[in-house]
Order: sequence, then C-alpha cells, then structure tokens
Amino acid sequence: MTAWRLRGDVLVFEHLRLRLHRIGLAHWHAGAVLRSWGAVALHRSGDALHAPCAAGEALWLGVWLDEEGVTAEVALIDPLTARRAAIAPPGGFQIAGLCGDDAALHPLVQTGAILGIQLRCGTASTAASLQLLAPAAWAALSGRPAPDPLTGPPPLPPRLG
Amino acid sequence: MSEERRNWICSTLDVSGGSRVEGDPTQLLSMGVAAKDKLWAPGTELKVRFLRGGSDLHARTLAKASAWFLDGVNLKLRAAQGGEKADIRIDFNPASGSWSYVGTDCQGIHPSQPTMNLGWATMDTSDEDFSSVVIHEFGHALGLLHEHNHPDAKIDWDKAAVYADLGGSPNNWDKKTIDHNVFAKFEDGKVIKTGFDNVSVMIYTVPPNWTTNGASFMPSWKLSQGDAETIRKLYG
Repeated sequence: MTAWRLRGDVLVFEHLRLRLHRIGLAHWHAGAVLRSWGAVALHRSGDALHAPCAAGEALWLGVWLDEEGVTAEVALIDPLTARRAAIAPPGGFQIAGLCGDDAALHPLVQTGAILGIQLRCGTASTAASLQLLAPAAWAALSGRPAPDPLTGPPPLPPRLG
Repeated sequence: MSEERRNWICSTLDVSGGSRVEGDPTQLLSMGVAAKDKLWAPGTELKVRFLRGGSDLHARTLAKASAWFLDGVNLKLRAAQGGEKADIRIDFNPASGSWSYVGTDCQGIHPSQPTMNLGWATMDTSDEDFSSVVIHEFGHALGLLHEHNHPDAKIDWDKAAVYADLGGSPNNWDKKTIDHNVFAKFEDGKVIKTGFDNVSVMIYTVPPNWTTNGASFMPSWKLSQGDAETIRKLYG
C-alpha cells in the first residue's frame, strides 16, 4: 500500500487526482453527466476523509490523471448496502452514485455511512474511507466553516467555437 | 462587458507545434505563444475575402483586425479584389462558433472553404464583444496560439469539472475534443522574448470552477501591451 495525501481538497495518489463536487439533489439524474455546483472541502483524520453534505444535495466524485499513458482504477463501496461504483481513468472521470443489486444508481447523499475508496494507479494501490456528514457536524470536526447552502445551478459554461 | 462575451472562447484548428514568447516564469500569464512554423513571411500582404455578410460588417471586421498591424509589424492586410486569391477567408456562420486556422495553415485550406468563422459577430454585436472575437481570431490567423496549451502554463486543472462542463450544453464536446482543445500541450520550441503581459487578448476563458485553486482567466477585448510586443517580435 502506498500513501495518499491531500493537496488542498484534492486527493493525490501517484498520478491520480480525486475531488468531490456538489450538486442539487433535484438536479441529480441517474446516467447523466453531472456538473459541479462547487467543490467540496475535505477533512482528513488518518486514512479517513470527511466531507460536508447538506440535505437536498448530492456529491459526485471527479477523477483524473495528471500523466498520460497511465492506467488506474477507482472504486467506491458502501459496505453496509454492498452498493459500489468503479471507473478506470482516463476513460472515466465521474462517479455519480453507487449501484446496488437492483442495478439502479443511487446518489451519494449524507447517510452517515462510511464508504470505502480503493485506488490503483499503475501497480500501486491504496485505500481510504469517506464519510459524508451534515455541514454542522463536519464544521465541528474540521474546525472549518460549513459550506454555504447551494443556491442553484451555476451559469452555463463558456460557449466554445 | 457583456455576459455574452464573458461566455465565449474559441477553438483553433490544427495547432501542433509552437514556440514560447518568454516572460517572467513565475507568472502564469506572462507568455505569448506562436506556432513558429506557421508564421507568415515578413512583408506578406494578407488578402481577406468574406464569404457572407454585408460591406458594413466586412469593413467593421477589417477595422478591428487592423489592431494587429502596428507600426513595426512587417505585414499588411487588405480586402482581396474580385478573382484574387485570398489568404484568409472569413465566414459568419452563426452555427459554427468562432474559430480560425493558425497562420499559414490557411494556405492548405480549399479556396472555397473558410479559414476563419466569426459566428457571433454581427453589426448588432457590442463594440467590446466584436473587438474581442475579431482580434482574437485574427491573432490565430497570424500564428498566435492559446496560452493555456503551452507546456509551461501551470494551470491546476480540475479535469473532471472541465469534462463535466464541456461535455454538456452548449458545447457537447466529447472527451477527446476536450483533451485536444483544453489540456493538450505544445511541444517546446524556439523562445522569443517579450515583456510581461497578463492581459493578453489570446488568453483562454477559464472559469474558477475549472481549476483546483480557484484561478480564473478572462481574455482582454483589445490588444494588450504584451500582445503588441509579441506581434512586433514575431513580425518586426
């Protein structure tokens, strides 16, 4: 196992980069590519990550590589429900939810569950856990201010040529 | 500045190769970038043909494009006469966005096809918006490239957020296109020095949610002092 680290609110493991993003739960749609309504602040305690997630919002996990020609895998698992999701960047870049035995995709919302994160980059691998907390509980734990409530979707991205 | 202009950025076509115009290496936006193998020969008189639009729109476009043709720039620009071969052919197709081939790549395009499209430029476009898009696209036509593709551009991309944004409306780009237009890096080339410039008209629009450190960039609507130094360096 190789160590991972936080750079700001980005999880860095070898050439892998992971960052959580917020979206209004009403705008979460299974199978859709989700836009970011804002990045999520992270608090680390050992190998555990804690993220604020208010009622009415969902999070998605963004994944990318900072190097070409690298293979990697990222898996997110809820051990209690056995729901899971996995992607293999650079082909995949977003874990929008967890898939259960019912084959349905379920949004990442604050349930108190401790999720497992499994990372592989090249031949190196590591693991972490992720718990989504109510903003006030996260603020108390991290000593950082709770994020502002979501107010609506962000403006459309720049229009390209 | 209108919201419209805040929300466009162009794409260039075929932008392989390039050279850096050196600035302070600690400053992200200090560089000018030009495709060194795609510069026009000094003294070239670039002839422009418009494939649609009225004479007032043509005149407005040429007037704004003339910003690049400063004292000390050994290039000329004029409208092509009837039957005369045009180096730059401009369309105003509103469905095709804003783009340009880079420098002498224009010479490889079939004469019936545009080498530049100014899809959002009309006579109703505000002066700042019109200047911004015309000067930017003519910068490409003269061989200039986007800053963000330079290998030394230290932009901390949140690639997942960029993929998520550009994969949807209004762009609907696939991942390969995003990789090419946004994240691709030019190979290092010859270095040409200019002074520091952090307000280049060639800077790409980058919203703060596309970077992990909240950095954002917005192109100027007119030629900056650094742009002027760059074009003089390239064609002086």
